[in-house]
Amino acid sequence: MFTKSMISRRSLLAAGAAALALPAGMSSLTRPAAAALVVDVTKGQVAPMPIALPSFIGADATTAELGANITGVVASDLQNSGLFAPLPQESYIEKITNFGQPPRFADWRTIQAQALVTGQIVAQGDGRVRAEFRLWDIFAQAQVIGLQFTTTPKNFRRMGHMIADAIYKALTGEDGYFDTRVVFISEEGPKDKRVKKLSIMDQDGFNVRMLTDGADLVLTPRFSPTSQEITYMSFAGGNPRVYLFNIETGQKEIVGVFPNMTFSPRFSPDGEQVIMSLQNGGNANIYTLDMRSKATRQLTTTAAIDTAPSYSPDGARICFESDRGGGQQIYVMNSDGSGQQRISSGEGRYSTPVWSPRGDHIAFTKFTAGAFSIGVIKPDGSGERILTSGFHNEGPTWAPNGRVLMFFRESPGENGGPQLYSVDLTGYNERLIKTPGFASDPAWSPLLKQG
Amino acid sequence: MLRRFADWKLAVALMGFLALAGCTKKNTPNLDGSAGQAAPGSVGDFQTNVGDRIYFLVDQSTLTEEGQQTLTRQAAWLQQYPNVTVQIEGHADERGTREYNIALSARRATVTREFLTAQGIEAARVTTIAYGKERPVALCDAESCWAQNRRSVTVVTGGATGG
Amino acid sequence: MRRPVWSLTTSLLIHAGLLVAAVVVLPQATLPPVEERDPISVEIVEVTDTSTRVATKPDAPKEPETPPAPPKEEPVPEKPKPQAAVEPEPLPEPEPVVEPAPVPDEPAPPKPEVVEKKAEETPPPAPPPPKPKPRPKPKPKPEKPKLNVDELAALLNKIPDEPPPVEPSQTDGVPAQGDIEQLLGNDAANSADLIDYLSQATSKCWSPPTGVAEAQDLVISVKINFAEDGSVTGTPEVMNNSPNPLFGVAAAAAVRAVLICAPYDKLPRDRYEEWRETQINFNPAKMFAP
Repeated sequence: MFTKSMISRRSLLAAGAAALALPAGMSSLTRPAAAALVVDVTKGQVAPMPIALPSFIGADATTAELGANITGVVASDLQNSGLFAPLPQESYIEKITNFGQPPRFADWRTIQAQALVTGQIVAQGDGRVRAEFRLWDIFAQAQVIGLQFTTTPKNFRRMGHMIADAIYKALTGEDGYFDTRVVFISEEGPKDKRVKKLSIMDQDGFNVRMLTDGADLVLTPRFSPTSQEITYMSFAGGNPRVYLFNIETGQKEIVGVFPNMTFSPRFSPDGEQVIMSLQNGGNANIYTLDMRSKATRQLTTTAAIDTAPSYSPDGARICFESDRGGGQQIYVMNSDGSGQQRISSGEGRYSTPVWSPRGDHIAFTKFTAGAFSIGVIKPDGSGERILTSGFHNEGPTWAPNGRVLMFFRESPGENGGPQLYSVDLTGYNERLIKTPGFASDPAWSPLLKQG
Repeated sequence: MLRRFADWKLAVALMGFLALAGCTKKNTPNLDGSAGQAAPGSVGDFQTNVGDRIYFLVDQSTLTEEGQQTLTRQAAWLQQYPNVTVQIEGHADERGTREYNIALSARRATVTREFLTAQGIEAARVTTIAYGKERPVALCDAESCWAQNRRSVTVVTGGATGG
Repeated sequence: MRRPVWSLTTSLLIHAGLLVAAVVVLPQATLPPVEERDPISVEIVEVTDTSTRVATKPDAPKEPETPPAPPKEEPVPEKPKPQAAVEPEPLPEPEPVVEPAPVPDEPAPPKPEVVEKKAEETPPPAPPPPKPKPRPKPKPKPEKPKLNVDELAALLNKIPDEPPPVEPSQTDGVPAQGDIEQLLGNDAANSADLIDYLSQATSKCWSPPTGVAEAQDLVISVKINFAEDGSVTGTPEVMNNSPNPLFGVAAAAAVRAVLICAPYDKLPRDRYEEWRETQINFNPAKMFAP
């Protein structure tokens, strides 16, 4: 499962190492100042951390197998993040047999592991199992964290994702994103007669489920903040409208009562508003619908196409695209519609802006010189960066930690179709998310609620 | 032939200057054998003898001269068969993002509908729907196909003779 | 500089006592239990559920056809199961964390032996980390770098504006070992050669986590006591502090870098007094510099 050899070290940066001899005399040194050597290290390696993940142990064959499966999920998550390099299990010297014993650190140092995860699965007798694990810092010879989770065995993938999230956070200082789901559109059939189904899967492409049957054309699903509802566009009954889908009950309903087509919906961060475009003749403007009072509010009033609205994480601002200036560009406004201001300025057409869950970036699709790119820009319009570019990349969505983006990429040709990819905010670590068929319009969930 | 041009923008500019030569010729009614054989007032009559679709330039929703000619014929036909109702389907090519293309295709459908109503067709007889880039008719990755997908299609929804 | 001997002795005694206590109290495990998290429940609706439960809202356009049967090739053959099936009954409240394990506080942390030549030498079976073979000055520093990272990154608007550097080649800019060694001996008068060597060697061992690498003002200062053979005595001591939520992982990464690099066996013994005590400042400011 994770026998891949360690990712080769990417020495992103050179160790050019501006070494400066600072004037000695740091007060915190107890030695006579002149004796202390002061060295500055200003560059390092951007290399995935080698981590050892021996299979979680179990008292019997069943728990041992479950342990191996969970460990496989953890290893796969960490590897896919690009920040960790799980070491092949064959190389392990120490065989973990007792969860209660500290590991032999020297054994793990020998194989270059910097971190080690030990764990065990315990059957609880009520049909559920408990997974306990400890994360060790091999060089500091210390336990970093130790946690336990309880669930039914069939939930083992989620358990693995939660453990991977805990490890990710402990070692990077940032929230993980593995215990998450993605809603997307499954696509089947020829290009001119595509059947599209609302679908959901785990972040890593497992547990794909279709939520609609393909009878109606469905587009652009987005999660509610609780991950319990999805807002999306459906052509049901020949009336294209924004809908709400309840994941628990399977119920669908139209969002609001509008005279014309509504599309491009998205939830506000508090889940109380759905923001969307309403088509009126040749123009599209942005509206919000309050989910409780059902009150609508028009935020833009241009004779243009204003669409793809997305809230900032604090709910105070909204980014959207508009062709009011002639071509599609990204704009930002306050959540009451005031202060509309264009932020993109480069050549080409900018579209599908999505505000990062951290608030520091807005991701977008850009079309220029015949190529579609995924990029990010700061909310003030500075710092535009292109992360990936090609024939057709579209529709970025953020992982809840704001570090990874998912988008879809169309392959050319009559038999081509869209697939989902992820890429780091740095532009590195681009990965295909395998799905059963073609897939488009991904939207990442928040971290799932535990319990 | 335009597909030879590697530079997209150049191709687009030329498209404009050439006033829809080339690919958009497909706009004209289909004359391949069945022409004239469709019963007057039928859907086939409308599609083959009148022309059910018009094409647009890249990222545009203004009617071309040729498009206006086609719509003028459509309006005359609709005057002739006053029981017929139609739905205008707006479409966009694949070289745009999903949400924008929905709105762009709605704009194209709207422009088409407005032309027909300006010609005296009752507004109640003409509805619209916007499909964005969801229903291409030509599937190659070249301007020759994309030009065919940037279209609005007048679909007879009722009142035609002979089915 | 050196800690008084009584302190070490006391520490050893206390830790030994703790260890004995632990063994007595916890006959089975030498490690405390791990922290408990809420049970994981589930689940989302299966497609078979959804197609039979389509709402017919008053204002909703009716579904085009009769409720369609579940598509055949749906990869979700499982029977719909009741929501609450997996709902766990309340479990014992999460026990207070008893982490971290006692290991880190063990007396006499082994001298980090990084470039292990002793891979074959089977280490003694675990519990207390094996005391390393005595070193000239095995003075443990009790102040361990604690991985203190329970908060979220607040400092995430620190991503550099420049596009990420293009994928560099393996050795891009990193001097090969031989080159680094050649640094020594040049400009020996003011220790500049030592500084260059230590800086370049250490930068090859330093892999700060992404967020840390982007945090341009998160400097970690580490004090190192070297033995004459270039090995590190005790644990490198983190000398500064910061409210930055990433400080904990940044400090851990800096200490790890030194321990990975050690022993710095190219350091000239005849100039031991120059480098015996060294401070390394890890500054990611130029991480993404071209």
